[in-house]
This record gives sequence, structure tokens and C-alpha cells, in this order.
Amino acid sequence: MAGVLHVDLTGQVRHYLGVTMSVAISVLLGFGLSSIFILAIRSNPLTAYYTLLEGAFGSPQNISETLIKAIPMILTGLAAAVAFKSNVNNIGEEGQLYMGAIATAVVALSIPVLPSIVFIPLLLCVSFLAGALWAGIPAFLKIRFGADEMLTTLLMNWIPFYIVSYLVSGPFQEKDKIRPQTDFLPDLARLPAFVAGYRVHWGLILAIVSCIVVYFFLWKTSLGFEFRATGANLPAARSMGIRVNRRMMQAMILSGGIAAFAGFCEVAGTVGSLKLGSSNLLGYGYAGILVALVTNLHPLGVILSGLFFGILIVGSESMQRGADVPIAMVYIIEAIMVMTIITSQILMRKLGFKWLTGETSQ
Amino acid sequence: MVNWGDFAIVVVGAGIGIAAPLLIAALGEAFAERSGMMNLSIEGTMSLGAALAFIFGAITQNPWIGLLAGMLGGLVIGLMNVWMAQTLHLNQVVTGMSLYIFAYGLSVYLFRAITGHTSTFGLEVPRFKPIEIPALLQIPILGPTILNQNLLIYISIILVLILEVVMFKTTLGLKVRAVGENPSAADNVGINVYTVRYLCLMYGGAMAGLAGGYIALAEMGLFFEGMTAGRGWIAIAIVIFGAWSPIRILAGALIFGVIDSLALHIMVAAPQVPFQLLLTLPYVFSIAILVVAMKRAALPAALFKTYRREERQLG
Amino acid sequence: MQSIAIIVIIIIAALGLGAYSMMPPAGPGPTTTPTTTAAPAKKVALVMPGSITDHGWDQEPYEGLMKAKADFGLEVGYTEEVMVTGTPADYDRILRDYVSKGFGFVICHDFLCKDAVTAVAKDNPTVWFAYDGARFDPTIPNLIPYIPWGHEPAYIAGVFAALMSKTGTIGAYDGIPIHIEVACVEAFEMGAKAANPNINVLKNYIGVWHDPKKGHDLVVSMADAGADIVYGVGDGINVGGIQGAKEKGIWFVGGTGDQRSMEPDTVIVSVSWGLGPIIYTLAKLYAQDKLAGQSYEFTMHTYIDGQRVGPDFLPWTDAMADKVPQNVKDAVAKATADILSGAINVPLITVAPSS
Repeated sequence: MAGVLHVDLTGQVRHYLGVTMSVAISVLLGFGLSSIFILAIRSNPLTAYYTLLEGAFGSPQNISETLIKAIPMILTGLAAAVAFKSNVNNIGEEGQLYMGAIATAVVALSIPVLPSIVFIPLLLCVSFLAGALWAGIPAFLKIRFGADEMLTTLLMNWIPFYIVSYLVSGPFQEKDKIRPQTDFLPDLARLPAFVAGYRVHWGLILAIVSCIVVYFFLWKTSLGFEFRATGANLPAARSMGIRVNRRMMQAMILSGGIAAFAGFCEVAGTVGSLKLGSSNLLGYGYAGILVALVTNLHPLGVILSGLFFGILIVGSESMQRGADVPIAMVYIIEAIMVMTIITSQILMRKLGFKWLTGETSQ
Repeated sequence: MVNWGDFAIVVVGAGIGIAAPLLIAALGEAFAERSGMMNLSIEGTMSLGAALAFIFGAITQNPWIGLLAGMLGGLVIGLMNVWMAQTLHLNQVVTGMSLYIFAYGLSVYLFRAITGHTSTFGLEVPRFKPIEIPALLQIPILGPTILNQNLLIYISIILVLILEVVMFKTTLGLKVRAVGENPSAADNVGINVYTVRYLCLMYGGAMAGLAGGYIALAEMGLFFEGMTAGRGWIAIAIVIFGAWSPIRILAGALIFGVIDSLALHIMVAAPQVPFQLLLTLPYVFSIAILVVAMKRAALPAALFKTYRREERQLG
Repeated sequence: MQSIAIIVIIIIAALGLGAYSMMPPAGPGPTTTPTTTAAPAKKVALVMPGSITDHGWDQEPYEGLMKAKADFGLEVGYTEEVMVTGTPADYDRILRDYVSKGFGFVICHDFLCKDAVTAVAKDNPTVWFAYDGARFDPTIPNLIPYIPWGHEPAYIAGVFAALMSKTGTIGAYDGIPIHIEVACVEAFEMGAKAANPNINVLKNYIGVWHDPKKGHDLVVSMADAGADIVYGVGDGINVGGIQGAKEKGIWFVGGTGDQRSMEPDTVIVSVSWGLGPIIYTLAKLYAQDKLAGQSYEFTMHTYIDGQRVGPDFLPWTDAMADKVPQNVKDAVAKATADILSGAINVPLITVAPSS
């Protein structure tokens, strides 16, 4: 097979085919390894995976839900990609997302209702600013004091949780004063449904467009080039005259703003109010980091990766209902899948499966 | 009305208990980071350590075996991390984070699979109770609080001293630091970078597992899903604050523990203060202290670059 | 090298398939309901925000559901940790999933799911829905808000605590001040002050429900501040709080459910919301086709089929009876009787008073 194709395909297509094949194989391998855990508790892996796929795709409703799950992860993935690609280890997407959510809710519920055409872009801006600010603080501490941003962004993730807790049980609690959530946003502040009757909303378009915009920014503008150069080789970039500190700070701020978009989408799109929702292990912020790293920080790849994670999480969560598989498998499957995908390329090469990595035999 | 001296002693006494698991995990992470590898899986490893410690402690009715099980589990996670990040040259952030999720999921999975979802209170686990040394207890005020700690805390303090010596006065420590500063140079000098890193990460994982075991067996005597509640991440912060030096890590852990304890005691004494504000105190303080520490500490800035250079360079 | 790898993979795959085929059949997976002319089996689903091992909010309803399954031959399903692995946005999907699987009664045991449950209930008028609701929540014919009000047993616990305390300081804590939590904490204080107007009541919220260490540390802090009996209203924070109380040698008043068995020498009484019996009763009503589209507020005055169902004060066990002075026993008995007879009307406070 390889011989015949080699004649017809260009190196580029062959490369992409190779990568796709290896990802497909690693996904299968990931399912295979996860099966061990499913078997160990006497459940049927085939039923489990059928349920997973059914839960993710089985009906238009389910597809809509998968997309809803994917939206914030695409955005946080994009945020992580921008940051990591510019040599900034931003693991504060979770907190930046929350700040975007907080800003969206607080502003939407405080100002008079405006027509959507004004309201929604306003809220977008406000949430971007909130996330950018939240990322800006660690960025400033890094540039000014040398404080490692991995650490400061991480520590700052906890604080928005308490801010939300305060707001939803205090000044911004719903009128009824019963639940730890805000009132629902006015209809004009809500992102409209993408397909009538389903919950998936225009946030999906926002996410995809953001990815395309960032792609063009990084690859087609000189500023974007400087971001990438800073990330690829810091000393070399500096010697080229690029103001690396400034670029890193800008990348952090941009990253924080994009992550905040995810918060905006959750509040103005999916949920409609700001609720107390524990920031958790599979929080969109942390998942976004994995989403980005799995695709090697490519802004367009993040779209596919985010979708993949959406499928994985929605599907494996539904295994509780369709296949008698415990909830812990959600974590295990996600982790195993990430690990197999990232190790696959290397392992394939080491095992000699060169054609799977898309490398030409030279 | 308030006796500030007594208050302080009480806060510190409780703070030590809070600091202990952070210290243990940080002592392990310190070696990992000194050798140039960031280990982001600690939080999950701690949870796994807690689950294994509880399970095996309950099965064998021996807390030491429980701790050992926790350490072994942590060691395996550390091994996986260094294998993926070092041998396969993958990005440390993704290997660490995916292992964090894996280890956490594994802890819940194992706990449910082995105990069934019943109350842990049906399972008796022998615990590490505070050691009552009569001579120490006699000391007024300090005795029943600060000097009344369990065995593991005393062991940890001894460990700090041992590790400080290892890190700065032994060949091993020298090798670790060399590998962390400049792996190619270390390689040229004949140090096996791979071996050093493998050892450090396995050790770091084992200590994280031990820290989890401590939480499960020394105070709670149970396993509760999510009981580590972010402590692994704090441990990473403490490592950087302590500039990878065991004694300074001890200081960092104590500071964090005391601030956490202080926040809670203030919460009780002054309920009019918004509690959410007090709960953010430890994190805000950590950031502030971090900034101060970074500014004036003789931190080899090369250490950070080491991680990133590492990801691209070593073949 | 390649061939070895291929052989290894084939062997592993073969072993895996072999092992699988030898496995005993899985538990109740997606079964195909046998087609009979009888009415389809009644299926009840329970959706929970937390873990079924949390010794409280989620474990009790789960156990109630399982008991109903055993007693009434219901088919059951459950989904847990929705708020641990996801967000409130996931409730909609999960509820619809159960509807599509043919469940006739879906219970969503969280207060944050009201909008999701209402939307799904409106779309599926032939399916019953219940959720942890609130007073005056509007209902539609197939939607049942239920609320466990623990203020009355909490009041009794306050009476108990105030009289048991030798230091004159007692404490109460919970996660976040929202309605049913606030009701309990405030009622505890009211009961305490009724029994001893000079009692000092420490009230604290620690922002989380599931961090045992934080509960432990808070109880230790309260003990350091002089409290010798502490009432915990949470789940994980109770589990840890009990350990803290044990360490400091003080009493603990359990919350959420019957926590006396956790540490019998420390948890001397318990305020139960009766979540287990509540869910059990709802499932039972469904099994007997007696569900009605109304809200169920469970207090100590709630009787269903002649039985009291819901929150209750669980007093000292016989083993601990000698630790409780007679005057305390009498006061508790009197308070209980007064509440049941209506002589005492415990105010229901649902918003934390700003100090």
C-alpha cells in the first residue's frame, strides 16, 4: 500500500495522513488501555464505548451537548496555545475564565438593558478585560520581579472561586435569595441558540472565529511572529532585537482575555446565570491546557482537540447511565487518552513505524 | 481580653499540622525540580497516596504498610512522569497534568473498587496519634500544643535536616544540582542525567504519596474523595518559595500553615469579617511572599530556563 | 523491532478478548426490557451533585433510593458527582438522557438545577420530576420541588448544646450560607439562647462542603476559642470536623444525617435532614402511583401515610445516655414535645443576618 501511495501523494499530504493515522491508532490504544480498568470492575468495555459514542453523537440533542462542552475548552485551549507558544506558562486559565464569567454577570445585571447588538459586544469586551487583568497581574509580577508565572497563575486560580462564592450568596444572589446563583441575565444579553430548539449557541462561532483570528495573527503578522519567536528560542529572539519581556506580557494578557471568553460563553450562552460551580479537576481551564498541548499548540488544531475532549468527557460521563461504569472512569479515560496521544508519535518512531509519523524514509 | 501570646501559640500549633503534608510533598518535589523537572502531578499523586495508604492500612491494620503502599503508588506515578518527559522528551506540563488527572481518577477508582461504596467508618485504620512525651507536655502552654505532635511530624523535621545535608553537602546533591543547572555540561562531566532525573522524580513521587498517606492516616483516619483539596499545588508553591532548599522549604511550609490556621482562627473570633476574604488569605500571602522571595533570593534564574531548554534540547 | 511490536500487540489484544469473554456478565447494564403485556417496570433515577461516599447530602438519598428499589421492585439509575466532574450546565443533558432511557421519575438532588429541571419537565409532561427546591417555587403538574427544613431539630440541638456546654461557648458551622443551611444554623442559635440566654454561639461558614481537613481545622479553631460542643451542617466538612472534635475532646452534633455511628463517643446527637427517608418516600409514592404535582416541604410536622418523614433530632444512644445530665434530657424532651405540638414555633430564617 505504502509503495503505491508514495508515488501519488505529496509530502505534505502524506505527513498529515501519517499524523492522523497515528492519532487514530493512539485513540484506539487509549480505549484499549482504559478497557483494562473497565474489565477489572466486571463491566463490558464494548457496551461502555458504545455508550460513550452514543452519549456524544447518538442524537442531535447529544451532538448539541457535546458542542456545548467543547466551546469553553476550545477557547481555553486557544488561550493556553497563545501563552505557551510565546514562552509563557499560563496555567491560570481556570481563574481567568471565572473572572470573565464574573464580569459578564455583574455587568449584565447592573446596567440597564441594551439591545443585543450593543449588549453582547459590550459584555465580550468587559469579560476580556477582566481576564486580561487577571492574567496581567502574574505577567507584571514576572516581568518586574521574576516571579515564576506558572506558580502565580496557579495560585490566583483559587481566588475567583471565593469571589463567586461571595457574590452569589451575597450582593448578587438571585431575587429569591435561595440558591447560590445570580438572577438570569436579561434575554438581550444572552447568546442566541445556533440551531433553534437546541442549546448549542453562537459561542461556538465565537470560538472558531477566535481560533482563526489567532492563527492569522500568529502566522501572518509581524507581532505574531515575534510572539512565536519568543517562544521558540528566547535568547535568539532577544538577540534579534525583539522585546521579549514585552511580548511575553502581551501574550499573557491576550491569553487571559481569550480564557475569559470561555467564561462569557458559559454565563451568557450555556447557563444564563452565574452559579456556584466548583472549579474542579476537569474544569475547562485545566482541560484547556491539555487541549492545547495535545495539538502542539496549534490554534486551528485546538478546534479539533476541543471537540475531541468534548466528545470524550460527555461520552464517558454518560457511561454511568448506559453501561454501569463508575464516574471515576471519566478521569482515567481522559488522562489515558491524553497520554497515549502525546506518546504515540514518539513511540511510533522508536518502534520503527516511521510511515505513521508522516516522516519520509530518508 | 484576648491573650495574644496564647492565641499565637495555638495558631502555630494548628499550623504545624496543616504544614506537615505540604512539607513532605515539597521535600520530594524539591529534588525533582532541582534536577530540572517540574512535576505537576503532585496533587493527584497525593490523592492516590491517601487512597492506597487507607486501603492497605485497613487491610493489614498496619499504618506503616499503608504509608509504604502510598509511597509505592506515588513512585510509580513519578516514574511514569519522568519516562514521558525525559525519555520521550514530551512537554512536562502535559505529562504532569495528565498524570495528575490519572492519579486522582485512580485514587477514586481504587477506593470504590476495593471498599465498595460504603462508609469508611466501617473500616478501622490504625492511625498516627500525637506522641505524648511526658517531659515535653509539662512545658506550660507550648507542651500541649506545639510540642504535641505525631511521629511523622518529628520524622519530617529530621528528614529536612537530612535532605539539607544531602542536597548541599553530598556528591549526590551536587549531581542533582548540576543536572538542574546545565544538563549538557553535567553530561560532559560524566554524570548520567537520565539516572539522576529518574531517581529524583521517583523520590518526588514517593514523597507526594507519603504526604497523601499522612493526610489519610495521621489526622483523618479515613479516605474522602477530593480530600487533598489543592494541597499538592501549594506544595509546588512552597518549593519555589523555599528556593529548593529543604530548610527554607520548612520555613515556607510553616508560614503557609500558620497563615491558613490564622485565617481560620480569625474566622472564628471575628465572624463579621467576610469569610471568603479570609479563605483567600493563604493564597494571596503565598503570592506576595513569592514575589518577595524571588526578588532578593539568590535564585539561579537559569533554573527556570533549564526546564524550557530541557524540553527542546537533550537527546 | 517492528515485528516484535506487532506480535506483542496481537498477543495483548487476544488476551484481552479472551479475558473479556471469560468474564461473568456485567451488572445491570442497558438491559432490553422484555416485552410483556404488563405495565413497564417503574424506573427511578437520582442525579446527585456529589459523591455517594460523602456521608451526607448525596450518600443518604442514594441509600434511600436503593432501599426503595429493594422494597418496591423499582428499576433504578443514578448519576453522581455532576458538580465534581462538570458544572450546573450538565444537568439538562443528564436529565434528558434519563428521559430518553425510559425513566418515569427523575430526581435531581441539587438546588442549582431548578432551571434545567423545569425546562426538561415542561418538555416531558408524562415524566415525573423532583428536585431540591424552595418554598414558593412554582410547580407544573409533573414537577415536585422538595425541601428538607432542618430548623426544628436544629433548635432542639441548640437547646441540648447550650445545656451540655460547660464552657459557655458552642459552635456551628457550614459551607455556604444558603437557605437550608442558614435555617439550621440560625435555629441552633435560637434554641441555644432559649435554653441559656448567656450562651456564646460561634457561627462560621468555610466556603466548601467537601474538604474534611478544613472542617477539621475549623473545629479545632473553635475548640481553641473555647467551644466544647460544635454542630456541623455539612458533608465532608463534618467528616473532618468529627475528627477534629475527637482530637480536642469535645462533643460534636452531627448534621445532614445520622452521623452518630461515625464516632459514637464524640458525635453524641445528630440533626438529620432525613434525606434518605425523603427520597425513599418519593420513590415509594411513585411506585404506588400516588405522586402529585405539588411541593413537599419536609419538617418535623410532615406526615405521609401516618408516618413522620423528614428532618429529625436524633438523640443520644443508650450507650451514651449516662453522659447526658438529667436536666438536659428533660429540656430536650420538652423542646421536642413543644415543637411537635406547636407550642414552640421555630422561625424559619433563610437569609444569613448581616452582622
